[in-house]
Amino acid sequence: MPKQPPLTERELEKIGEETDEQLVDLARRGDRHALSRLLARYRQRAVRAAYGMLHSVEDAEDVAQEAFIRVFRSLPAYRGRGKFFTWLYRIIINLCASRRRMASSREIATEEIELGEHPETAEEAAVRSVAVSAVLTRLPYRQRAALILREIEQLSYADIAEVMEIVEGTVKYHVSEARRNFRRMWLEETNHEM
Amino acid sequence: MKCKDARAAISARLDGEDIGFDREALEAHLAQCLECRAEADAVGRIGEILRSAAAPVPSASFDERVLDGLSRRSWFDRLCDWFEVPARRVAVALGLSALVISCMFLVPNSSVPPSHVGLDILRRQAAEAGVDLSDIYPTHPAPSQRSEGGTIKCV
Repeated sequence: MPKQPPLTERELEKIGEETDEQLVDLARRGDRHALSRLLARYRQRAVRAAYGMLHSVEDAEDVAQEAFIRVFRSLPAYRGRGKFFTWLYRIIINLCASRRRMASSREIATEEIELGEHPETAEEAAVRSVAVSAVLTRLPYRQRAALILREIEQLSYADIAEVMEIVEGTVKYHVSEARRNFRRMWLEETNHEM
Repeated sequence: MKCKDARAAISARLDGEDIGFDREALEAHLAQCLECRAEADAVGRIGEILRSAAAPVPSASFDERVLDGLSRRSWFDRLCDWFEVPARRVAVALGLSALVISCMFLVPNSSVPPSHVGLDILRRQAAEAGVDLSDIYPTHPAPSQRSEGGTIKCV
């Protein structure tokens, strides 16, 4: 693929104007800038979601890149069934699942976690991040995925159902159980009620 | 209402989704169940905690690596792409047929098996070194007894 020039300011402004469907349609017809616009729109969310699942910056970026490559390669076969972002998230969640053993085997230093009453400093925020990672790692995989898609990515139950290929009632159950378990594990990890 | 149902309803209400129960029934349950009320007070903080945790920012080379990865395809994928054009498939089939037919006409018809050539060299070297190979390789015509075409002359 030939290297393309960076997007101009006007093109970057247009990222917010075009729908995913329009960009996907352009990308399918070989418009390289449409790929860049989709990347600009979803790269942060893709890395964030993968990070929530794997708790490793390096792995999260690898997974997000691999997901984009798979999606873009499959664009010619894309028939517009389902939303672009639910398709992307589905691939991310599946790729993370294949790496989850590696991720769960990683040691997370939770023994030394001490949260202040009002975690405001950068150090305390970092400690809080470690605590969040520790708790998320302990959650069952599907509950973790449902909670991240709901709380961090702000997806509706219908979209989460599409990503995880389950019915909405099951999403509701997973999110609810994930919250209950998160609350309990948070108390265990930090000795602080939420 | 059971606590399990109440928890699911609390969670769905927080997300602005259908709680699946009458709201008044949920409120009545919360009014009498301390555990579920504590749950209802706490679950709203989970999203806040999760979102406040540091999230990585994609590296500056993220897009470049994706687009490079997109152009890097395996040789098999490229071959499949190349064969997508029917004319190329026909051209390759014709080329291979021509090659096979050419080989049938061009390969010399030698009656001397390749192993005999090696044996002749071995014999010659053994004779130069004064070693007798007749016990190991009993009866074979000497190289001098062969014609140029590879057939054996009767002496």
